[in-house]
Amino acid sequence: MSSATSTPQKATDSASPPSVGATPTGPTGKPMTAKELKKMKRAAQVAARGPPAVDHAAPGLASPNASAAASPAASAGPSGGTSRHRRGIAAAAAAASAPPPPPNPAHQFFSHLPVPRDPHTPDALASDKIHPVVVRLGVLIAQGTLRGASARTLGVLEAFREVVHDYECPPKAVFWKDFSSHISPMIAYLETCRPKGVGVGNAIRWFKGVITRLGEDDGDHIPVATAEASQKAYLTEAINSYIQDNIIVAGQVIADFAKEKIKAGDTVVVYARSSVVERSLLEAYRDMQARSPPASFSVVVVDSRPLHEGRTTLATLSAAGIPCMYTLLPLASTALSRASLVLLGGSSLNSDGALHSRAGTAVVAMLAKEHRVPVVACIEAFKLSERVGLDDLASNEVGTPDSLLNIPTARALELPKPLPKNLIPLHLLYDLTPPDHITAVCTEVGFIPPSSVPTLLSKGAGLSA
Amino acid sequence: MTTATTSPASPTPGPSALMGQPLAAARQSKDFDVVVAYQKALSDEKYPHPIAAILALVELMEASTASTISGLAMELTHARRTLIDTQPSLGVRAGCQLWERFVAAYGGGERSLIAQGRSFCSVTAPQFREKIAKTAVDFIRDDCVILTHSYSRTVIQTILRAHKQHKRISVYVTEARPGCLGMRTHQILTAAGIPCTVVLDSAVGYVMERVDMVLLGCEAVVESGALVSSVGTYQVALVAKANQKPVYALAESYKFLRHYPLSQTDLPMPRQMRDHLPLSFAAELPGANLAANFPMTTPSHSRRASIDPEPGFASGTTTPSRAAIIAKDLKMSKEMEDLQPPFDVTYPELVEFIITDLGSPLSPTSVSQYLVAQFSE
Repeated sequence: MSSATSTPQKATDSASPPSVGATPTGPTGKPMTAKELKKMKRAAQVAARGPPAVDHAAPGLASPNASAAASPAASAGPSGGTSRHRRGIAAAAAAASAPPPPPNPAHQFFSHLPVPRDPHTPDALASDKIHPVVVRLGVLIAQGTLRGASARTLGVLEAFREVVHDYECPPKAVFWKDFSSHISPMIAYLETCRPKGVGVGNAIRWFKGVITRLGEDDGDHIPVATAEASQKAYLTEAINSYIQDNIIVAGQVIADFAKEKIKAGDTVVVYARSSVVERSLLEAYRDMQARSPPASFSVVVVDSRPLHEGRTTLATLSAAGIPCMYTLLPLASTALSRASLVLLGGSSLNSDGALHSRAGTAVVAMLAKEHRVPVVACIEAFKLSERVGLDDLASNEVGTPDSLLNIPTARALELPKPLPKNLIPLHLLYDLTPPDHITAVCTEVGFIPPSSVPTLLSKGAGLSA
Repeated sequence: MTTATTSPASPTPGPSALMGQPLAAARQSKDFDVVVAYQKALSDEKYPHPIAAILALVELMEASTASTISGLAMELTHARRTLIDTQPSLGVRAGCQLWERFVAAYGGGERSLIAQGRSFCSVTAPQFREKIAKTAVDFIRDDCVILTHSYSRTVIQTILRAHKQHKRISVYVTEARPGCLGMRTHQILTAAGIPCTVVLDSAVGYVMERVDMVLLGCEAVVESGALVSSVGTYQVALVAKANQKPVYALAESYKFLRHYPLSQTDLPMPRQMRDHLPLSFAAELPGANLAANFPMTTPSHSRRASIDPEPGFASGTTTPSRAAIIAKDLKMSKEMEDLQPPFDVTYPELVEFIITDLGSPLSPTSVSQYLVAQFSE
């Protein structure tokens, strides 16, 4: 998680247009093959990490010997690379040959978390197993252009709809069996771009179920000639209705419920960005304007580095004419002392009622509880998870350390590259808000206390399947 | 899913539905007024608000001249809206929700539906209270001092039952201004031979240390597990919590209401009350009246006289009488009383558990689980 992890991110950035030409080139000017690239990166990673902490050593990184063996391989390869690269490797190799420094204990806590990875776009495009739409989606997700659980789920389902449309069942193959194996490398590819998360995971699980059920009622009554077409139509229809019911209508119903809680003169605090929260605020404002024009409420958008997602919220809300205030997380306490409601979105909701959401949400909820401001988590039922996480390290994602360390306004504070070995930049994308800090959860069925999530989950089993 | 998409309209009818209402009223209820029926049912001592509302709806069905099921359903919906829009009691909403759900789920004909409704109101519902009393009486120890707030039939029945079991109990009951229904509780319990003392609402903190348990009745139990009940309940529960005294709530399951209040003011209110919040400040100060009502001219003087008499100012005995004289002149006016809230919300963390007719006592969270399971079908 030191300089090594920044390397794949650079590759991700440069690989953003999904074309082969954008591959990092070797010193010879010849495009490196993905294999070479991968090898080099791995060597760099191993070297940079140095002797790993003994108790969590991954296979292959088991001993300093392995890294010692790997670093010559890296320097024996293309003798060049970008200069930054070379320096990084050299420094790392030097560190590896020196007597091993005491392992940084911080490594142990975060080493299990998925780090941003290169989606291997050229590879994926070259193998014709992965539909270009899925590759495009993968790149968008990996880059962070497509953010938010709802947007990602929507994207994945729409991509799969394309895949269904373009799929041709080979002769003599059974549709649902062949389609299952057709789509699984794509699911695997998407997983390499970014961990699925609960929303996308639930949707994919549902979709696999639909495909399997196609096999179950693959009745004799369907004539063989039209079977494929009608089955494709069935899948398309199923995807459409999932999108409609669980994402679009669900969002609308939640907004209908949430806007009831916003009264004239209120100050609503929101954090970062959530599509459902945005929608609730917009509709509440529209309704209030329609009823009595002078009545209004105001919104405080709390935001934080490095993603600054709240700026999007701010732009949307202020464009609609809602009086807004923008502040960063350090001043959330000030904002909350005068607030009347906190609306939060989320990536998923655990079965114990804990909210898995953008890092910083838990702080806002905790401060709100301290100030006795009601906290409402708006979340669609398809984001409910049956998991229970004891803390936010159990499942999380690591963001790019670069975005954390690069401060555009304070260039002088930037750290040298490669980073000192005793420094681990920690950029976690999510945190977990404990159920005690949530007053109510707003879902399609209305407001429920966080303790009733299991009841909803047991109902929801029938709902999304 | 279907209930989820339709329900946003049902808890609070949208503005358009309200606009159309006088028209609809003119169209149908020629000889039957649901509000009158409700008030008549309520005047009978034995019917609580939800049951009175159900009874009114049943009577409407009896009197209805609608020839089709859908016509009847329309009349029912209209009557429900009328009740909800005119009656401040949340119990009315709970009763209407229950009846609506019952009618929707009922398969039989109209006649048997009416018979079912009648028997529910006159036979089943009183049994609920009996059941609760039976469960709750086991929590009352011998030699127990009970504090209760205002007037609740279920609480009184429980206490009477304990008395019949020869448990030596004594009861503090709050006066519960401005309705002063606590006096009624006092009257009933004293008549039964139970030692009972009326406590000023402001003396709850004083008396709490002598109390063993707090029994609360309520108007409605909402989805968060909170109680909505006559104003003052919240502070009784707060003081009890601060003194580590157990608070038990008694509620029939027909008082469960599908609503989630986020704050004290976030309660559904009848239309005419929705515009002015209880205890809101007047837009303009009645300056002239102020000068006339307050004999003191300077603020510093008034503070000294009412709160903190100086040692040398007067002897201890004369100061209170002086304060009493001032207070006599300064009574709450009718307008001030009208500004007071009728109910408050007692948050679930203050209540140990809720004793219902559904069997063993429920924790406030399981009330919401019950409600979610009932309504999200």
